[in-house]
Amino acid sequence: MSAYEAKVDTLQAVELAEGVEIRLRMAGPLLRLAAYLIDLCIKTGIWIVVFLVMMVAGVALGDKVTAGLLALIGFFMEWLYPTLFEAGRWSATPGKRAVGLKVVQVTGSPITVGQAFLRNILRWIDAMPFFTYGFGMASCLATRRFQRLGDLAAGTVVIYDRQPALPVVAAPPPIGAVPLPVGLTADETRTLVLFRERAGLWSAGRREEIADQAEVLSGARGAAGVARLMAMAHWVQEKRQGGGKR
Amino acid sequence: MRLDAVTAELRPRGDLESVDLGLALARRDFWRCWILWLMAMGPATVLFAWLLWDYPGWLLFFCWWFKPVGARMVLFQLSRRLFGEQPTWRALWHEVPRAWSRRFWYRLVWARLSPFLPVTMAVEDLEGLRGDAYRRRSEQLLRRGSGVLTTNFLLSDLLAGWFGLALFGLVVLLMPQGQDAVWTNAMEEWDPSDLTTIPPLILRTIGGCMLLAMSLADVFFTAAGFGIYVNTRTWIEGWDVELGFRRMAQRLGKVLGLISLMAVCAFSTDATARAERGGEANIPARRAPEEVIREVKSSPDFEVQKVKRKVAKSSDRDISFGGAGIAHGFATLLTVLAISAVVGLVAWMLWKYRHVFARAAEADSGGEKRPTARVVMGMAVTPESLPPDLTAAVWALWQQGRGHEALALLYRGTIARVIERGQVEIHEADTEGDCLRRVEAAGQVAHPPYFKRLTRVWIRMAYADIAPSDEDVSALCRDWPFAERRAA
Repeated sequence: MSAYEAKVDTLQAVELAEGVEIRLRMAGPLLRLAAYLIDLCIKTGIWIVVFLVMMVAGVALGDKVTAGLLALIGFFMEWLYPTLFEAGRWSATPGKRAVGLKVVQVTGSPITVGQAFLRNILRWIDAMPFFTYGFGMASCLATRRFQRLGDLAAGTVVIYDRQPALPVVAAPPPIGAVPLPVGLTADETRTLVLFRERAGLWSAGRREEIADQAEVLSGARGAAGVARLMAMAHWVQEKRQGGGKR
Repeated sequence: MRLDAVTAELRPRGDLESVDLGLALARRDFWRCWILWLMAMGPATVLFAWLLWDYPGWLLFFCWWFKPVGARMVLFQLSRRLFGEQPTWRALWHEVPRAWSRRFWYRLVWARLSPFLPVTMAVEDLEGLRGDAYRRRSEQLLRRGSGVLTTNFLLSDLLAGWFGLALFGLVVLLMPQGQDAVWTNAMEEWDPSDLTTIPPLILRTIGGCMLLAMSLADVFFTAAGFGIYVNTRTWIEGWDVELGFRRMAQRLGKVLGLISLMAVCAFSTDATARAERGGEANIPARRAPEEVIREVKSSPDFEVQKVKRKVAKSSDRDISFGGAGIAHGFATLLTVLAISAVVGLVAWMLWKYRHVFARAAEADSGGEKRPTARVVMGMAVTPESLPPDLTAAVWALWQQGRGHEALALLYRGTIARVIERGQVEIHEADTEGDCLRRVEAAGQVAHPPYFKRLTRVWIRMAYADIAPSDEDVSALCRDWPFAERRAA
């Protein structure tokens, strides 16, 4: 097995024209299923209202006109409901919005009307066989970005729109602040801060094990290393930023 | 477990994102996982089918009941692969009986209906914990993601049934009509509204589709559970932070000596203070180098045996399979052909477009041969077209009364010299104004003041027919700045 194999990840990096790299958080089939069920409920609700109205109106309009109107409404709702919402400002149907999903282009930009139309026309292929969404599910599980066939054709992906707040369980605050002995990269500094912010979740022994990996930085092992890393993280978070403000 | 060999991006995720990670892991190893699942469940299914051929419902039930065995194999494969190890098929085959027998009564009877199976099974199989330790560890790991695990537990069977029916629909769709009498009869006999009397053939087909769907669903849902397990451990054990520190240590290790020196200097007061308190913090700083070396060398990174064994194995395979050798030779041949084709193409292109390089070489070589313009404003400006003593010839022409020709000769002679000596690049389409601008841009070597004076006189003569005085012409001849030959 090669060491250069790309690591499996649920994020996909996209490089923008400005040379900036953003990461799209691809959404898997489970939450999309939930969104679909919510949309189904909404559509069913609309149908019930439409039927009630048509039952009353049918007395005046006659059976054939009512049936024609129902067919028309059904046609437009099936084809336009997802397309209009996804091409609109939300980039998501109400169901997707409720669970925090959004449809975007593979490049991360908002989808166009054409793409929304294409991906929802192909929904009928994804829904095969017999509206079980078997094809869509298979395609979703087989592609790196969890794309169903409609997504593949339109070049779109479904991403998580809301970033859940990750809990901070910090360890007790350190007594002093120790400046960093060497310059650290942004990633390394972030790791140091994460060490402090998540240390509350770890046992004392595990903290020491992790801190021992950074012995080069702290110059100490065991509890002393933990204390020194905490003090450094404290310096990075409080003192250095304070100095910047002054 | 070697954290630095991990083959997935570890970061603390939300519950659903960790499910996605699990699905991504399953996708990478899908065929292996699925074959393993079938390998573990296949013999048992055949046995059940033999015993319960006339009761497809019970057959389905028993296969469903024992599916954690397949999940166990999937878990085995996914966990090994996550930490950069691809188990051999032999090892996987040896694992199958263990998957059946390990804590059979607990896992496959008592706790079979536990929704937390993917996580607790990982504790049992991967961490090897039993009894009290197992219970406490499971409780700890289930503090995160148990909701999603429960959902998955319900959803896995629901979706398996759903997609089982989808498969059955596909079979009905794709079965050629009228070709198979047995099937056609069964389909005609079947009344979908009456669920109690489904023809056995249809029932078995549905059962088979359900089994297939169940195997696929179980592979992915087990992987989803494994994703949750990995995510929980990332949270409570800080795997991503440890990896980050390891990467940092690797980078900083190069300047280790310098840093330790700095650390000793900068924190000596701190260390002595701690030493007074009787702490052991300063002990590591004074460790003997041998000890450090031994510790570094004991790291798993220094194990080289695995690499050696793999090399031996691959050479074995080369010898044993003749086909591989032929394929290798064929590949080499193809490579050679491709390279020679590329070389040939490049050579042909070089030959075909050699004039490009010839022109570039001329431009580079500068001085001697710079025919930037041989004709300017319809006048030849090559040195060969000029008389040897230019100013004398000009004066002679002027004296003969051919003033236009005299000034034309002087002007084009000057341009020729400016091109030749002043290295001014003058194009054939340039006007007098362009020439003047270029000469002025070229600087002192092209004598712009003289050129300007001459140009004014020449323009008046050529376009307005206003002849200069004799003194002006003789002064122009006298001041001609390119006349070393005459001076000599």
